[in-house]
Amino acid sequence: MTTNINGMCPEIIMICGALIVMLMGLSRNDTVRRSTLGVAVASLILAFIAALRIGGIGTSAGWTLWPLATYDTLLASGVGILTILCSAGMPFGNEPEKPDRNYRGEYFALMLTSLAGVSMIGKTTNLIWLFLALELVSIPTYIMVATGRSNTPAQEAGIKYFFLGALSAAIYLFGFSYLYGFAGSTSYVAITAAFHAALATGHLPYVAIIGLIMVVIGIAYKIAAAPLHYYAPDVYQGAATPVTAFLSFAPKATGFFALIMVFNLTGWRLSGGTARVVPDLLIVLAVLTMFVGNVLALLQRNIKRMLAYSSISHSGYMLVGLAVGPFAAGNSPASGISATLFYLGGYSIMTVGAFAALTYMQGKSDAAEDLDDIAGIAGEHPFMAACMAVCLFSLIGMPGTIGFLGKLFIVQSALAGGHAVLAVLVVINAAIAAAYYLRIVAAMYIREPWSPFAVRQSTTLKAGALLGAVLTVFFGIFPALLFHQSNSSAAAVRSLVLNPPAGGIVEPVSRRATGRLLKSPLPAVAPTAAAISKP
Amino acid sequence: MQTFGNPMLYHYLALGAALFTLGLIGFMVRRNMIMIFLSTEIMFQGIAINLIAFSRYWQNADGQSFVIFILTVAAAEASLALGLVVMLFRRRQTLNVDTWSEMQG
Repeated sequence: MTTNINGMCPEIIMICGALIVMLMGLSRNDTVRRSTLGVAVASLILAFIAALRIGGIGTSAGWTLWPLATYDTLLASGVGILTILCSAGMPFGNEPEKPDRNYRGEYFALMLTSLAGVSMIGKTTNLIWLFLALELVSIPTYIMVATGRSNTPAQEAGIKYFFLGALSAAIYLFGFSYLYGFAGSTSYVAITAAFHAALATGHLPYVAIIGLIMVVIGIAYKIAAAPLHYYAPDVYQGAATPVTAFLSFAPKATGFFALIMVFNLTGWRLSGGTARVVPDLLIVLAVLTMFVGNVLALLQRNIKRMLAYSSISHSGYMLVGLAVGPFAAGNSPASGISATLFYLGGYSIMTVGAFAALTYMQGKSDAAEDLDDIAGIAGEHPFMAACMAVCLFSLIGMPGTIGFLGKLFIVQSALAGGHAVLAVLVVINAAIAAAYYLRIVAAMYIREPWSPFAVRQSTTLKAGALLGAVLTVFFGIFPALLFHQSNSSAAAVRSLVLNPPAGGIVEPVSRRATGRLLKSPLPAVAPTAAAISKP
Repeated sequence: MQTFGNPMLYHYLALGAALFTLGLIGFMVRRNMIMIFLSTEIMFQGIAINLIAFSRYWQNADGQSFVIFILTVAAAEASLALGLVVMLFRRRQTLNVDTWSEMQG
């Protein structure tokens, strides 16, 4: 755990930004409180630049995944800027007669803290650190959901999200405790060595398999994979739209990076014997998630619920890439990990863009929710309708957008990895998905408006939606910038897995005596200072 | 083998798993928000027992330091839970979670 402190520079900048924003949010002056948005964006831009500049400097003993960590940080700060632009004027439900309660700064402080957690996942070298990063992402989002707007659906969403989040934390922590029990250390190097030694004998202890399954299930909650998706529609619908945008990005990115970190420990080689059950679980999760998300989305009339199910189905596509693993298709954008990471970046941009446009369309109360709320909006607000349509076409996977390339790489990776059935299922699901995205587009462009539109007049929001739409098309035509990052991350994963860091096997006193893990007595004497210090 | 006085590793793991399962059952059957939160706390305690047993078994401090971090995060979550519960109680004057299910589908 000798990570160079330089490597943490982006996270330190984000946390400092969060502290400044929180202090400014306490000001009596309305203008100062309004400018918290600018400070938040500025600190994310600084973090983005810092991540680009420190790219190759840091080293962590025996565990070098800097391209992955850099991609993670760039994604967290880059898409973070988009999510902050689309939260202009948060929290909603302001009371004009109480000016001191408008434009509170803590919302952006929570957002920056959560983004720092997202950005930290790729840098973890220890299970304890991974746990802290996962919780750093989750805890601020509970508050953001519950306080983002002041009505009962938001509070209902907050309590549901919080309780199920605590449950998922307990489940993956139980998995972590078994992984620690299996390897005798929480450090990635030692756990990798333990997996390597166990897989070489062809027999993985049940402790490790149960641990891995619990970790996958706990993290599957974060990415809203079926059958752990049931909270997502309620939470997405109840939360304020900018918070929904954040939820469709931050926990998902966290979950996928965390899953990649955990599978790195196993060397992505769980194909033999009882260990087979873990990759099989991923495939089952992927197929279930795609179908549940897309089929249930067809039944929705509430746009936020529809986009919630859509985000579930996109998790399914990314799980296909994870199930394929890093080795298929070698050093091309179509290796499983590279495809998943590329898709994650693309999906984050297009979905946040769509939510930014949806935030702009205010609808009856404080947010457009029903399809009727946006019927015919293209006539009055052609610019925002166009931004939304571009993002939706990308979510469908139209050529010329980033969504098309993402799906292409996922399908290619599945074919290269010998999962032809998965590839076919992805294509079928993309076709099902087109139906409900096109219903939104059709509502905006073809139907007649039946009530005057209320919109949230905000240049920042417009800028956010425009940026999302422009990036969706830009990366769709010039994907090299993005897949250079995802590709080098996947290459780093491959080289780490093929040449695992040496050393780190922990051999306890008691195992030497008995040789059996579960049936051995706990040592009666207190461990000496020498035994406590890490081997 | 003595049944008492010489506990084996699996005794502790069984205790940890039992606490975890009890917490999980409590999470699903209880309807009072505070009891649901306490159920998750019981699950965390089960994990802590696992970690400490393994820590003793491996004779290193990784597990114990993990437990300290878990307790800290659990404390942060507890304060958040109480805040949320108070906020919801003020709105509906009840702690029953079944009153909070407006959104369906």
